[in-house]
Amino acid sequence: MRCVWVVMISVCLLFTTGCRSNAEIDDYSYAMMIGVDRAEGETSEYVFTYRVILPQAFAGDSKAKDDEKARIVSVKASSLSESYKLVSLAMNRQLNATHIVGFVFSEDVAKEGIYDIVSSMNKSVLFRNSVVLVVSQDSAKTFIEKNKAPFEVFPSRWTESLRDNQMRSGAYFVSDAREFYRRSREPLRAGVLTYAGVTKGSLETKGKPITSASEERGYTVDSLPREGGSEAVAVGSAVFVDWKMVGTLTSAESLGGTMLEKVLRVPLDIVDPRGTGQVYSFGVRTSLPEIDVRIENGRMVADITVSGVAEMMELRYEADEQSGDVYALLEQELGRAVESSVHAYLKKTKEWGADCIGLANHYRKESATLTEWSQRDWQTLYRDADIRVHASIIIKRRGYHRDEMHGGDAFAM
Amino acid sequence: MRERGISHREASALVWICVLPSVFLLEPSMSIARAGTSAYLVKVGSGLLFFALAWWVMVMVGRYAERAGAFTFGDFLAHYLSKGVARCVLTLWAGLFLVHLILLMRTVAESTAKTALGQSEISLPLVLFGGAMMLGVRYRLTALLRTSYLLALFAGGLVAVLVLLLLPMMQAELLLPWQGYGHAVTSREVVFDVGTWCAGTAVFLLFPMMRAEEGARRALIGGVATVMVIKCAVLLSALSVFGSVVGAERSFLFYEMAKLVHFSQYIQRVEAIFVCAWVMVVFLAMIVFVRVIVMLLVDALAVREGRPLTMLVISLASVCALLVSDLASTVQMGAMITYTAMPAMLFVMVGAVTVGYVLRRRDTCAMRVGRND
Repeated sequence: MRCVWVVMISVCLLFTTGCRSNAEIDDYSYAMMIGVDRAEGETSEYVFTYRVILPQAFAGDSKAKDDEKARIVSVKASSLSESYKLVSLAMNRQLNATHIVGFVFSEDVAKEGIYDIVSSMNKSVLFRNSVVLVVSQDSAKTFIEKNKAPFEVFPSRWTESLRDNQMRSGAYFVSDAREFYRRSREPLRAGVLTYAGVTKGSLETKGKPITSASEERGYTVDSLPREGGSEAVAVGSAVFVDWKMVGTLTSAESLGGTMLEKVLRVPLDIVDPRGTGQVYSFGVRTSLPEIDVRIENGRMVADITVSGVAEMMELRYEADEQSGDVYALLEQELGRAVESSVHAYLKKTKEWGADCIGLANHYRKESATLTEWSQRDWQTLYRDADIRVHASIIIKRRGYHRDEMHGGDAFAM
Repeated sequence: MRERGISHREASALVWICVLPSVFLLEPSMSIARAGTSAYLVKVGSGLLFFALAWWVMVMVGRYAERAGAFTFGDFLAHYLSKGVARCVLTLWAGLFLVHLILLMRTVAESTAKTALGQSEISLPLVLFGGAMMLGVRYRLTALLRTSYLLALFAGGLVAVLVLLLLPMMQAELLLPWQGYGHAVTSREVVFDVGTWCAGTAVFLLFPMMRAEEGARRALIGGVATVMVIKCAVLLSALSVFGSVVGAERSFLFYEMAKLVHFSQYIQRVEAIFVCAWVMVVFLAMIVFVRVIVMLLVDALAVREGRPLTMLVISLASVCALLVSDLASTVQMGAMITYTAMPAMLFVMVGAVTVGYVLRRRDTCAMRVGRND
């Protein structure tokens, strides 16, 4: 009997632990990023561009250059699964899609609607729902070709830094396939993705920094004043209603929106409210806002309170800047800058009826049933909503300034 | 197939291992589809209702046990209903467990064929499970239940880890309105949802094997409470991550949630660990189901030895699992059986035994009064 057990366990170990159909990692090629463009002259077909990594090229003794470690393959197909089959045929290794981290749609495709692709990706066992979705101002193929961040080879690092940079700048929204699909499937029918592109800007390009008090402000892909680094950049957000892209938000407008749904640590510059022309740099940490939504006389009314703590980025020693009155003025100005960003975000999204951050979800607690909540026309309600924003930013760590402690000139002995 | 006494921890694991497997498979999405955002409240309500029913049956069995000595659940039913009815009830109950086993086998085979064995036919995982069950069923029930409560720590811990890792993706607003589709629908669903707990009836079916009546009650409290907490945690996470619309349209919500977990770029595809826990739980549950079915049949058919029935039950379950055409049919059939047939059978059985118990007590009291007169 013992012999029978030994044989059975041996058979199990040999046949059920992957020994029979094992494959070495070198036998695979890993798709890391997929781009989707509309095929020229064809209305029903797409051009899918795959960025594929060859693990063999990353081996310790490999002398492969960066360009040789990854291949870019484009195929024309009518669906995502067909494109996958075609790329598999094009590679002389088994294609694996479970490590895909980014999905790039060209603006044309996004404007026509991306339900088919996002839906099939969401339901497919090949892909993961944590894939980050991006809309490219240029063709997706160009974006993938140009997406070579310095010091990085893997697009996975690019998408990870995308999330980190969002928390540090608020310059764009980041949505994965799950989040975008959920928001678009629910009664609000609105979603928001990262807007990216290949920057044509140089140091001569005139951007509109966030400190500006004008209505049109913030950076876009084209107005980013910079040189060097990766040509592919993410600035701003693409807004969707009913799976179709309806417009874009600048970095400042995106900041206003991201502040309403995430805890951010962003740099914020304000101009001295006393008219000295001096620019003060703060690091602002915002908390999740308090949002109260109600329906009054058939109209949506929302009260939003954004709270945050600011810390001065540099140590200043001018005696007058350390007084309580100046701090109060600076706090008011910071609050105004935040309110202005949020209003800019709300103004644009209200025009499109796109409640991207789900303000209407805050009305769920007032609704008796799910049916009652979901049967409201939230697009119209959001478009006509009366939304009041109040920002309260407190400056902390005042004691860092020596003259505040001594009550006079910082360097007085 | 004589079993030595089942301790209260093992009995607790019996409830756990019989009721929990469906949480890793189709149950969360089915519950969200039926009750919307109140799905987790429905689980609490149905758990309490099942607990009350099971407690009451245990009280009746306990009273019978006081004067019966060694007995089986069939003897108890025969005492309060009649021998024929008792045999019918036991056979029906064995059928209920068999259907549950068939649905479980088919669902887990579908999920295995979709994930781990991507290129295989559905028959391959079914044959593998059938073969493995033949081996596993050789162990004593007490050994299986001891393994189950060790596994409970592992699986429960993994569910807790999953919930913690999904915290950044959760949105509390998606859990509202707490009434879901309204009071009427929520209350109705509480009654229908008792069907998802029906496999937990094993705890009173095997009551005669337990060491102590008090231990059995403690086991019931422990088992139901543990399962209720895990079910609620999974549903709360699923609702706050996917929302009620997407949550209702996905089949394997637990797997989908595990796929969302992201540790770092160096530790990827952690769903494999969660799949391990779920496969072990489901596999153990299938073996326990076979043991319970065989015990019920031995009691119902009044045969001395149940071992020859084991292979028959496993073969029957494997073949029947192949008869279902696809996953959609499995979901449809599962919903019909779980939310209609199972609660109906449970309520009818408990009701019938209660009527028999009350009538017997009245007769006994009347006889005592007559004797005193």
